[in-house]
Amino acid sequence: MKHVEDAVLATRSQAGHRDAFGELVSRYAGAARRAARAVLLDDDEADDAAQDGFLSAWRNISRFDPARPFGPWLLRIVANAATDRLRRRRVRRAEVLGPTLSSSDPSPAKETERLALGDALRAALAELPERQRTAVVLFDVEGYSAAEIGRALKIPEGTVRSDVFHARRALRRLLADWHDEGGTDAAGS
Amino acid sequence: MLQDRELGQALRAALQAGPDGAFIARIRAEMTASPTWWEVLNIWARPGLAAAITLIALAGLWLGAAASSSNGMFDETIAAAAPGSGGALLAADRPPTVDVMLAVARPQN
Repeated sequence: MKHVEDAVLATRSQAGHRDAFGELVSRYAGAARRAARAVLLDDDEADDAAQDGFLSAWRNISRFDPARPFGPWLLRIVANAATDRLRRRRVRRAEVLGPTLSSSDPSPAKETERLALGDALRAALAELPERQRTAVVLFDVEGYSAAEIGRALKIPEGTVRSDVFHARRALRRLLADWHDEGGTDAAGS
Repeated sequence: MLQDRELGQALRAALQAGPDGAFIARIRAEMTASPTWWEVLNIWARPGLAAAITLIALAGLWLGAAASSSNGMFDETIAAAAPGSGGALLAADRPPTVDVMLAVARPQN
């Protein structure tokens, strides 16, 4: 099924073919998990949210318009599922995620520079507003256009561009700090 | 606005979870466990069809019983019909000839 287009798989899914939707799950699992992580910054909870999103998409596949791209439609559902979980978590714990997130991750003494960079980035992401980090991940990581992200997040395209700009600036600044404190060139300029 | 590939790659690595295999398997299992509306419809289709057939059969029996009780009146009406009339035609043992049919069909003043 490698060369079958998303629209064909979605149409088959609408006809009730589980295998077709299963193929879409395989294709978008990574993107959905990353998008959920960008919102929730918690691996287990992000996977639960991504799963909720996929199952919701499966139940509502009849509402999908195969003339439109499948990725943004799915990621909107996943982002909504993650945001719902984030709201419930805030109510439950009455606390806001802070930059100390990475310090709670168990890190071996001799962790690689890549892992250190990952920790720094997750900490930097945690300092951003939820919408900014979702926008920057969908734009720079998943490669969606500002228009597609705007439709997915139900915000104007200009707001997406602004969110991506501010998120990038903050991430670059925080990564530069991390670099100055003993990181490597991996963080870039 | 162009993609910031360097930042994108770094973020991708930072947000990358473990292999997707277990995650995908979990979703497929959940999909199987929770049937969709058309599958529920499919499950109920046979019992529903059987129930509908039973209802139709019962309704047919009831209507048949009701009709047979009123047939007596119908037969009496036919038996009392004048010779050469439509009622007599229906009550006849043999099929009518063309002449009889025309005679019955002709308007009587």
